[in-house]
Amino acid sequence: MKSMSELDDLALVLRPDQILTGAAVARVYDSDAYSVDRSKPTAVVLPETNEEVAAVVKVCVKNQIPITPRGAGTGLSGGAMPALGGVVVSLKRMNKILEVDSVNRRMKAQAGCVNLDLTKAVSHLGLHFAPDPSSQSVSTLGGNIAENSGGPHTLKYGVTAPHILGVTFVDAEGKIYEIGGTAPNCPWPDFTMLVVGSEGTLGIVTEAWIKLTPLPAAVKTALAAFPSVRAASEAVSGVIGAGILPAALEMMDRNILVALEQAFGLKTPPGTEALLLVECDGEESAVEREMTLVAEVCHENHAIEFTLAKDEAERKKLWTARKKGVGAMGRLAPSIVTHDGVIPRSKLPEMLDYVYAVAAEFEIGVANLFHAGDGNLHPCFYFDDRDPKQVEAVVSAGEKIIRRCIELGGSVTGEHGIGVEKTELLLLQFSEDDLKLQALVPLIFGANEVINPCKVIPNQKGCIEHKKRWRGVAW
Amino acid sequence: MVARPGCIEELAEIIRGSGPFGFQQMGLWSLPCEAYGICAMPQGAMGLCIDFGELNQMVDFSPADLIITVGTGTTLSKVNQLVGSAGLCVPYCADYIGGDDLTLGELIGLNLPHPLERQFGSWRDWILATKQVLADGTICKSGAKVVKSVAGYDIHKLFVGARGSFAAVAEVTLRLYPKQEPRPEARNSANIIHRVLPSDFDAMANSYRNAVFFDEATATIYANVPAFFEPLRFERDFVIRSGVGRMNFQLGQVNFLSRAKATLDPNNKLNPGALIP
Ligand SMILES: Cc1cc2nc3c(=O)[nH]c(=O)nc-3n(C[C@H](O)[C@H](O)[C@H](O)COP(=O)(O)OP(=O)(O)OC[C@H]3O[C@@H](n4cnc5c(N)ncnc54)[C@H](O)[C@@H]3O)c2cc1C
Repeated sequence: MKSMSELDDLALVLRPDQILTGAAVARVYDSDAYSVDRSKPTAVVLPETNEEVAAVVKVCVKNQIPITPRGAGTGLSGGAMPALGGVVVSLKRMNKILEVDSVNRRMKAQAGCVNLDLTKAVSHLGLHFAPDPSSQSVSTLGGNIAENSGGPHTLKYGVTAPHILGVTFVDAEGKIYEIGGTAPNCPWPDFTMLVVGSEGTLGIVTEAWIKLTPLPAAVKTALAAFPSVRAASEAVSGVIGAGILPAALEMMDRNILVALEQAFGLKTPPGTEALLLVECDGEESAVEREMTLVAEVCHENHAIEFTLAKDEAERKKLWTARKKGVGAMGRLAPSIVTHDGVIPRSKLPEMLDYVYAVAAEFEIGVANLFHAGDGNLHPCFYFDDRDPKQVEAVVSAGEKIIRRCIELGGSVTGEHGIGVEKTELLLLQFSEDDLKLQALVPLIFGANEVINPCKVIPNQKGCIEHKKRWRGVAW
Repeated sequence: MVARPGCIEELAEIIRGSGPFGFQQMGLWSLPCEAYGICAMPQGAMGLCIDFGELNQMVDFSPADLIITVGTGTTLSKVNQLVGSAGLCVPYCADYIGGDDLTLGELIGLNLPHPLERQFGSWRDWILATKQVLADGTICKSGAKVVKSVAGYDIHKLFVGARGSFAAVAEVTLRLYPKQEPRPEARNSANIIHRVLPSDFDAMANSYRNAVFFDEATATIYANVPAFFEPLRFERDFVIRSGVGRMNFQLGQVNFLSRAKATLDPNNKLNPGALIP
């Protein structure tokens, strides 16, 4: 780790109030929402312009100080953890909306803008920013871009990538570039597509042109209760098989329902083992038709109850189960870790059986609340992180589940990214030759060892020996 | 000379230059796409032309998951025939660029606009994974065969529109959609495609005669223009013309394109000059 004196150059490019140091700061910024691995930064900087970001990067490169870009720190794979110490570049002060172009349905905003603020700024125009990670009230545009975040409405509207038209980007040497930003879907290779999902390892996104999507004319939401996870999964396949593309198709299993009942008194009919939240949006008549079909499919698959929201208030209430599910789990144990893996949707029933079996094997609690339509699982383990044995069990159980996802033809992550958490697991999905291609991407962008080291690509030089340190208590 | 590999290993051998075609190669040309003949081997160029026509196997088709994995030598019409039986389709409409007898490799390599784009997106949205041969002969894959994955960099999306110049993509996994009603009439190919920001659509549209199709939804015009026609240009627009080679392919991000080419194909073997003159 670098000492303070080597950071003195930062004072030449930023005001004192833009440089935070000290034990308290180091503790706050030593991890993101994936708190299993921690590592303290030497300083946190808060640039306010593209030029300041570039200047900070130049200082760090000159002094070989590691840089970790950071938005709101809600990442769930350790992407914003300063793995090798050094400087955390927080984009939080770059939170301005720069231009709203409603005619062309696009907007230019700084990377530190909170996701929900983007939508708030244009909702009076009947528009919104479609990517809606559950963290949207705090997570930033830059973080959403870096993680290519999804959300409940990804099934219909896609992840973040299709909503990013272009970015302003400071590369690992401190040069500022505009990438993309022409009329949508340019016919030549679009480098924006590599920046999106790159987890801050190629450089720092400071601004983006984002696509704005019209708010749908009509929205209908329903909650269906099923006697088994299998029946609910089959309903998911049935809905998709009927040619319907709902805006959202989310599943919650029994343990989530138990937590919800304890926390919010949410009742489900007796015998409910799984809930399915279905939302259809679009033109009024199409939505009506789709929802009728959805109800039919649910009943065919033995739904115990099918509740269609009658008005906006009821619609919001139905969403409570989905939105408050993770929070409610706080009642079950001191800590929760949400895993993330993807399988082909048709493999949902057998995969869920496997998740329960693994949790039983490791004697930890598990609940599932996830994007069923995308086949994107989020097993939430609840445990006590003061007990190193339980932490170890959670990590091992998670790895076992991810292995199974790969065996079933899926992916090690659908939303949370690789970060430091899954670098090794990436080896399950990618061969040595596949990784050779992956490792060429940073070269295209002229990335170096200074920019967000130890993330995404496994076995990076100088990272392995730090793994134990990151784990702290558990190992 | 034309090579016609039957599988990805043969393709790799050709690219490595160690197979029966192991002569000194000046360039490996693929994507002989007539309508937008940008990647066809230029007359008089030295090298070997690779025909992907035999790389047309269906590797995997899972209707319940709305996913297909197929060789890039497969024509769009063949893919749509295959998945059509399950009520699905790849919603690319090739009406204005020469029809759906083009192969997936060609269509993905060219990434031309199409009239169903507003509704369904295009190749960059549908491409979930690829298997390819790199310029040094390495066979590798990118992405995952599921509708959602953020594992690693999405380099397979960089191959969209790359005109075969970054890697020889042999296999592609695509997201499928419910089958669409056939479009009413067969239409003429256009020789120019011009896309602008929606605010410039009327001005652009007025500047064209002989339009084959005005697509207001994506602010795009498909038209037939004489060779000497100079389109009126707008901020952030793009224009693509067919049949006139790479010269009229307007480049974006030249510095990144060059870096990518230098990194992925340092000896400039794959479709040399097709992307960066
Ligand atoms: C309660 C909760 C719910 C969540 N729900 C979802 C969900 O539904 N879907 C989902 O996909 N994720 C979800 N997440 C994960 C997380 O919120 C997202 O990944 C989010 O996009 C991260 O944004 P952030 O601003 O917090 O980024 P951070 O955590 O600060 O950073 C994430 C990564 O992005 C990089 N980064 C940040 N800003 C920049 C920048 N400007 N330029 C370059 N790199 C940058 C960092 O280096 C890091 O690698 C959830 C997290 C929590 C805690």
